[in-house]
Amino acid sequence: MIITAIKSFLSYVGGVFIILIEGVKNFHRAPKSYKLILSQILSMGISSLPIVILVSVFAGMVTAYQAVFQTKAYVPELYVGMGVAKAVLIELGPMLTGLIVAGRVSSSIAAELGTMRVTEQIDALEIMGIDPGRYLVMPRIFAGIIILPVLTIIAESIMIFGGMLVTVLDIDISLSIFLRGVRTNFVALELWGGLIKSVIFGFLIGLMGCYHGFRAKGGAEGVGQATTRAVVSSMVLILISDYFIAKWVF
Amino acid sequence: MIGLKGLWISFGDNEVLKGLDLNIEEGETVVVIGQSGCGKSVLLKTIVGLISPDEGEVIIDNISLKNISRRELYEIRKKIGMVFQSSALFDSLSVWENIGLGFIEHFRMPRKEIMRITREKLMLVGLPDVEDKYPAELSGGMKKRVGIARAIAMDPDFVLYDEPTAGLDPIIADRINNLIIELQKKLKITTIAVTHDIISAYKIADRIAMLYDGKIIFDGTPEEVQSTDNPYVQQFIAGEGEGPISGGI
Ligand SMILES: Nc1ncnc2c1ncn2[C@@H]1O[C@H](COP(=O)(O)OP(=O)(O)O)[C@@H](O)[C@H]1O
Ligand SMILES: [Mg+2]
Repeated sequence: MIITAIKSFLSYVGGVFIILIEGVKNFHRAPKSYKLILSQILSMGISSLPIVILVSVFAGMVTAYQAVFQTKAYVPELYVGMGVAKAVLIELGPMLTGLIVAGRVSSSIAAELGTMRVTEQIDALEIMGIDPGRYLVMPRIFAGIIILPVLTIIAESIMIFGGMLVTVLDIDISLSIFLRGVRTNFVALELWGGLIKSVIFGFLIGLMGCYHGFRAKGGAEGVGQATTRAVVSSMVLILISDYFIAKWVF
Repeated sequence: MIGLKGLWISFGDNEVLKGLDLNIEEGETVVVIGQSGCGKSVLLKTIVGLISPDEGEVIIDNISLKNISRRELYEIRKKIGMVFQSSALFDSLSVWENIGLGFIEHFRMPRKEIMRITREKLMLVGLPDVEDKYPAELSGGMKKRVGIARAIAMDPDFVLYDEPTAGLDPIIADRINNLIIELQKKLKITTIAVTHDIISAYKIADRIAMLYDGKIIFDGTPEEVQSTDNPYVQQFIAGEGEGPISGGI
């Protein structure tokens, strides 16, 4: 029992590692494959943007509302803006964006590559002498690394904007106090730390999508399983890595 | 020339090939017949190095695939075209991109030149005016032809066909058989096909080899197949449920 579990865990880690190497060792060929990367960036960005915007508006509004509600009687109004900005930049922005894009993008990578696997398209690439590591894996991981910080910055701006709407319109704190709060005690490390996280999340999303897609077998059902696994594993890895980055950076 | 020497391949407990030997000479068409699930696709994938045998070796033009680097393997594969059972066309690419992908990725040729080659190959497989279509817009027979055009795009010395007629109606299947023969004659390629379609095998083969229980149990011309007293071969070509062949469901 335990031995089989350990064995399958090791083969999982080994398999992920192989895909990781397949992708990363081709990073130096990124300039020549810029078209493949660009088309991945576009499709990832376009497919995620609407949901990222929608979730961010509401997440920002809730954060501001809770910041006010929890601290009303004993904390000056100035700290509402500060609380929202810090929560968004350190945790909420990168984390929520990571989880949303994990759901949206790692699933579609796994579905696409899984279909290519079970219909022998990946074998066909191999036979044409085209390295799937360079042609399929590298562009997806690379695009994930680039698009996630971009989406995160967009999400953070919208979250702070949403928070501002609630505070100004609903709670009657003036715009200038809110904005002064946002700037108060701003630490650049928090912004950069959040963006570094998002780079790692983007990497994990691309990696898990590729890994589970490549491993798909057994027709449409296998592709479905690969899709679910890609989403679950990338979300879990995002949460785990978030904890460790928080420990190291802050 | 392709030489297969003592190939053993197993997946877990499932022993698929058990010491298979087969030689394919230059310019000939060898058809490997056998039941579904007997390892025909595994055999083709082994020849192109997609599967490494547990034991034995594959030799292509005097180079053994054993212990060669990925780059060397890719070089050897440039001599080989493969037509997949399900055609395996790239869904996200148009017909001309499918056929020209090797040129796009390896040589960065201008689009105009690739288009010219693509049209030429499409003419060869009898399929003009489809270069801008996508695989989803093609019928099964057309996909097969595009798959063949893609396999011969880079002028390979060897073309491997996995069940070239499976899933096609008898008339389209016969046209594909004719196409395989025609290409072999025109382009002087060495052809290996695997199939369970005995009619197709008779039609295209110079030599037919039967794969059973992980080995080649018979190897001869179509005439020899028809006159053999090997009971396994007799059962297979007659398509009888009862007989010495026990595998399959
Ligand atoms: N990648 C693989 N992993 C595990 N088993 C495989 C794999 N590929 C093929 N097999 C098994 O090998 C046997 C032969 O398969 P295949 O070569 O596809 O048969 P066919 O003669 O119909 O083409 C089958 O039992 C199949 O389940
Ligand atoms: Mg098969």
